[in-house]
Amino acid sequence: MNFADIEKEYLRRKTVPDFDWTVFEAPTDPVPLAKPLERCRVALVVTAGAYLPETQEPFQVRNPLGDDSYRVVPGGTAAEAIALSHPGYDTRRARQDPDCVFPLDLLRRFSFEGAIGSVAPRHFSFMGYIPRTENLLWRTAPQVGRMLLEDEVDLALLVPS
Amino acid sequence: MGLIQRVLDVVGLPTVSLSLVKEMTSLVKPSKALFIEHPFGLTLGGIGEKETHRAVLRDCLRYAAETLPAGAIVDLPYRWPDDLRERQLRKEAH
Repeated sequence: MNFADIEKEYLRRKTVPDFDWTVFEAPTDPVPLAKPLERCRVALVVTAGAYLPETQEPFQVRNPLGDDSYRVVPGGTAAEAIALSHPGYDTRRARQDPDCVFPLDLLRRFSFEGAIGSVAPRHFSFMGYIPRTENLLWRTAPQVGRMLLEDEVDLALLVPS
Repeated sequence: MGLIQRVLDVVGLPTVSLSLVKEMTSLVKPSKALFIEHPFGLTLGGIGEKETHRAVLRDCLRYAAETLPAGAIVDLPYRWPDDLRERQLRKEAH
């Protein structure tokens, strides 16, 4: 039995009796970069459950139906200002080194070194436990897409946890 | 992760994602993913493993610039040194 089957059985038993994975038959088409990486503005989209405790609420980690909201993290945010709330992994590890799941510090270093053009002004954090995906697919993820376009982002890097 | 990536693909953004579970990414079929056999919560590497983090992020950028077939899942060469990932996959560790 692979992990997808193990997880599906676990969720059906523990939280969502009719849970099933959202499945697509055909892949989405890749969009080619419009410019060299050295000129690209790059944004992170993560599912680490990262948030800014000074100004933002943590994600709901005890809700059996998960949490499909997102948090906006400004590009200049210090690593120490980032907290993590997620029921699916031990956040104590990554809290010691947020680059493990939300490599914003590292992306800034890449920008400083010239490997990318710039770091986007806004980055986006979800919490990966979302057993009901309709709202994610039709509302929250499209909102993030619009903000990335508003920020003239050239490349989105997606990092799961 | 793949579901969010699909939405960003459709709005016209270049994307590349890391995948921790290949069979789940295969169900969703985002445009371009890089499979990495690291544990949940240590996606780019272990705590303080700066060189691994850098190498993984460099791979993301390199493959972002490459033309691959739609739905490609590229195997990255990183291996985790202990059994944390395997225990997580059996839901015996967090």
